[in-house]
Amino acid sequence: MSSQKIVLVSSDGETFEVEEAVARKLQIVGHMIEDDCAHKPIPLQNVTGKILAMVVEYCKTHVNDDHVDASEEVKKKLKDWDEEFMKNLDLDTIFNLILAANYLNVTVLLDLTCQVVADYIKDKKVEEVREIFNVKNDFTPEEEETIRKENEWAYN
Amino acid sequence: MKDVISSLPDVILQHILCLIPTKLAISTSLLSKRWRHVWCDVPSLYFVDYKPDDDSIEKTLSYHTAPKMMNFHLYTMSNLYIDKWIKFAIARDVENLSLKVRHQQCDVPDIFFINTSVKQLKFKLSFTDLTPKDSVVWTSLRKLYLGSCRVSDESIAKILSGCPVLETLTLHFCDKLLVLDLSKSLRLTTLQVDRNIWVPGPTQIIAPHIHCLRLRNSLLPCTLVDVSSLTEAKMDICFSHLRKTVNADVLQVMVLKMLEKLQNAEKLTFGGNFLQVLSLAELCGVHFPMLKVKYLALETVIFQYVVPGIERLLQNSPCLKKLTLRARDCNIIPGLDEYLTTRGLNPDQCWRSNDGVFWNKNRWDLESKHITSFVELVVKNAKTLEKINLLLNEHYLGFKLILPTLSHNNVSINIALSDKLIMIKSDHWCE
Repeated sequence: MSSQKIVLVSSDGETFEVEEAVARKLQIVGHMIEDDCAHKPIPLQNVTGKILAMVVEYCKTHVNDDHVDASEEVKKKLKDWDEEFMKNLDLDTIFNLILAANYLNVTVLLDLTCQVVADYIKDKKVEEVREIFNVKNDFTPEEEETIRKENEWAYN
Repeated sequence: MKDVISSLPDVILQHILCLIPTKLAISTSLLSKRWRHVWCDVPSLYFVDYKPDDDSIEKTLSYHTAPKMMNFHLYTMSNLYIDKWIKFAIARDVENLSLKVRHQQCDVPDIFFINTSVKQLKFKLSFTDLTPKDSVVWTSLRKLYLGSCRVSDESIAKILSGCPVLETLTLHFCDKLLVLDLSKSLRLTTLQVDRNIWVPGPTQIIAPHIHCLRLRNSLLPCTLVDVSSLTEAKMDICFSHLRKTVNADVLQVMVLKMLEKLQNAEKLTFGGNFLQVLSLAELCGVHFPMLKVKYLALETVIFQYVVPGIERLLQNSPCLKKLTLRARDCNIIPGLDEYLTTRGLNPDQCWRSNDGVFWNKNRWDLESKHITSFVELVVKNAKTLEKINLLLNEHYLGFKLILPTLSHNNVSINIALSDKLIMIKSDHWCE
């Protein structure tokens, strides 16, 4: 595989020059490389520079993920790096990363970011989840009762 | 802060809900009207951690509208709706199906055996007969786990012939199976078999194409007829606590024959019970084959009944680069000392190391001196060794302060105590 540089441009005009192997981790860009459309800068309309910088950093670290023979030690280091990467991120940034990973089709990053949100929800009562994510309850008490009856076992 | 999560597209919300138990996913329908039906299209359902009654599951499934299912995992105590639930999963082109039925046998519908979308299948069925009437069509199946099933040689042959891309097969206490012939499964690389005294099958394994074998054996004979492509194996023996004695002669023959079949494997893992049988064979002067193993893992505690076997393994492994010992509890095989006595041997002398070390008889009487002796025994017997990893559990935490200095210039020695790693590089310990 050639090691040409690929230029990515964020929605707010920031440019990122990355190795081809890193760019391929963004599957949307990978397809462009396959179709020979990557010799000029690639505009990524839905991703800001701040978020794209994080996606690129993630992909650089995970560039060799596909190696089946990775030792347990290497896997653990990556897992620790992932934890550090996600630590202290506010929910807004996490949601923007989710949207970016979805749009750019970076499946491992999508899994990681969604898992972080899932961990917020895990073992929480409905009221607590509403509070964490600032979700407004727009049900009437009657509607709420109907929903509870549909799957009673899930609310016990 | 505004409500950002609710503005995410359904496909992402469903991705998130796939990562939590179904019970919780359903409860999100109470968050707001936006969330009312999000869970209904989640492509993964897990009725495992929280086990509602069958009628509740049935009701929940009636609300579920995802046209395609990735995962469907179900653990139930009755067979009331099994037929219907299997059809539900198949109708949605499920890719990963896991079904565990306890206490009751169930009839598996014929439609189950014709499914081109399923990639992973896990069945634990209270000794239900798994007998396909017609041919099996599992053309996408890569991983198959059969647990507590009655499956005859003919049935398994029929199943395997319908799985052209099968890569991993696990048989956990499968009854009625005698000869497991995998010679026509060209893509099958990994085989895992659990046997016990009550469920003896299979007694012969013909698997010329597999690369990785994990076999937890029982006391009943089992022969590895052909495992000629093997590069990795993990072996142990399962003992019943109820037994007072075992047939040590039969065990030694079985284990040594297996060892011969593992001669070319590069990665080997042996459990404590397997090592005890090897020790017995060594003390009785049985001939051991030479091994090409480069990476050897021992899943045992250090105590006298495993040491002779380990010593012989090391001597017969001239290519060994790395040894890992993972502290795992194991039962002492009943009647070992008595057996040695019947062979005219003195157990007290037998269990002592060649260089006079008295090993701990009880597996929890381990002291730091035994760790030192073990490392020295390894280094002395494995001339090509580059690395020793000792992964010890909390029981050994007391050793942290009293571990002595060891000097082995060419061997890197890592000792992990609980979550702390102590490294010995060349001639000193450093935390």
